Amino acid sequence: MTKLLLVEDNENNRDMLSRRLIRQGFEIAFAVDGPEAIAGAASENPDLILMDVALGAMSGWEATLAIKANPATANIPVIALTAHALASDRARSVEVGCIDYDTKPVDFPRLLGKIHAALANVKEAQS
Amino acid sequence: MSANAPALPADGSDMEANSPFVDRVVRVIDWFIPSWVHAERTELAVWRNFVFTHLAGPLMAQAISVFLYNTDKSHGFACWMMIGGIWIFWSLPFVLKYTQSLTLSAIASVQMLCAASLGGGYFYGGVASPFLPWILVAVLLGFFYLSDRPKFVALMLVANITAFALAALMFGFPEIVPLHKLTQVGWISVISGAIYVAWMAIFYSKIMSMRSTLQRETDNHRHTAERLQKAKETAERVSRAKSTFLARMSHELRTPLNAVIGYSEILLEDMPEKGDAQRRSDLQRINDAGKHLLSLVTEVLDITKIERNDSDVKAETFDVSAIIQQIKATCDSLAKVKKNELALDLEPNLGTMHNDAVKFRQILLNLLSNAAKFTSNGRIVISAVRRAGEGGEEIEVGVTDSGIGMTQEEISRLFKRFSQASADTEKRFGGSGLGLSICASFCTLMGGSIHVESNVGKGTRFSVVIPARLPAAPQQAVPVGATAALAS
Repeated sequence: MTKLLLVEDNENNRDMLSRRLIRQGFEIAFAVDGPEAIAGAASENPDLILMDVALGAMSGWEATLAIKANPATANIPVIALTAHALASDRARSVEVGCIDYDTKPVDFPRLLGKIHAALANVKEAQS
Repeated sequence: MSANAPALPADGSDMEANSPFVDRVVRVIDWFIPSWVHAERTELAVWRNFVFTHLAGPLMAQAISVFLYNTDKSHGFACWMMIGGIWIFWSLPFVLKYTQSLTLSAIASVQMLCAASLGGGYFYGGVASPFLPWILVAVLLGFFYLSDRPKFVALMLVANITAFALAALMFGFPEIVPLHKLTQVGWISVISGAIYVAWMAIFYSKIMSMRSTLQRETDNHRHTAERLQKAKETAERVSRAKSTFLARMSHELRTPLNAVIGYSEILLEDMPEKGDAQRRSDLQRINDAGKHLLSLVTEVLDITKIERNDSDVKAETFDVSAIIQQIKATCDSLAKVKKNELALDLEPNLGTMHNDAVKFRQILLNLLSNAAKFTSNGRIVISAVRRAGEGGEEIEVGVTDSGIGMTQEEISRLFKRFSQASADTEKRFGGSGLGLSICASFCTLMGGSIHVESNVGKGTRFSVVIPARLPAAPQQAVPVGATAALAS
């Protein structure tokens, strides 16, 4: 079963997104802030991480940088979720090593497409 | 001369009230005065007074010339010195005109008056001479015209009087004409001297009152300027606070809105296909309303970003035709809501563009959503051409619809913030009225412009002209609603 790590500090968003993803057949692990995300990436060994950018003290960018810096978790694809479709946000996503980004509120079918594309991408790279 | 005394305009503003004769005199006087003096009212009055007294004074003194010529039968040096001295005062207005220096002319005038008064006194009557009172006029004129250098004037007067005293002590007074024969010229001299001094005194008081009026006006202006400055600062602070508040609010509003949209979608997904149609439609309404509210909130955020000038332009190279086709694909479903046909009319060689793709996309999305909103059972066409413009190549993209159209008056209100074509547009079609003003601001930021043509009942065409390459100079965001190129 494909496991996703959902990093999101807002309880509503976490609940909503996870229920819809579970219904699509994913297994979901949670993290509510940057340090938990870094720890979760190592302990849960997810297939993909959905990273909210606006987290609290530690931003999603920083958490992603840390995950990419750790050889054990560096290959896990990260999709950034940002509040605005700013060009600067997109540029920053690429800079810190995200494979893709999407805007919040989530357009669920679109996000699903991006998740599948990212997973296929990784599988292709491995084979 | 005394008849004219109150009429000579000491104050430029009195001029309109003067008779044609005085106007003519003033025109003659002004011929001697350089144009730069006219900018300053009190200065002009002083210059005019100088010219007037040096034209009228010698004329008045001709009585003395005639009298001296008749009385001093010797017609020697002293006689011609006095007559010549009186005549030479007429050269001073010309000295003023050609040197453009009131100081220099006034020094010459004071010195000449000292010489005439003391010289006349020396030759005609000594210390009892009827010419001596004129030394007082010289003192008055000296301190009036040369008020900025009183020591110099004092020195000049002392030097002249010393010369007079020395000459008297060393050589005595020649007494060319017996003193009793000078009685008549004494009357003339004293009366004209009195007139002259009176004239100067009246003039001086006028100048003083003008200066105090000016002072009051200056003070008033300064107070007004200070008040304006304060009001401006307050307005700017309030505007900044408003922008920050709006930005924060719209950001905060997004999170609960996400929940409204997301949970209503979950409920819709949970519904069995053949479930309760009424409940499904209710949920759909909640979801639509949430999405609508979200787009309004996003527009408010966009507009505050433009207002705070932190909406920067990020240039990247993109394929024009490809991005338009993507946008069309995004809008296909939107167009179908009111049964419109969405078509493309693209020139084959649109090529690439180096400008802000995100803003380009948003402009087109806004225009298309407008077209879809105001058109039903019609046709919406996206057209694009590439052509040479003033500052290089440019792309013109048009969005033409066959919708309800607008009147000229409605067009004029279009790009203003929170303003829609008409008050009932909002009731009938919804929207914040921010979309088009955002489009206009984005166009300006990208170095381009937006235009609109419309016919009521026939349709509307918006066209956006954007340089194919972002101009090098940073584009100032136009305050939203202030301007938008309106070609119709």
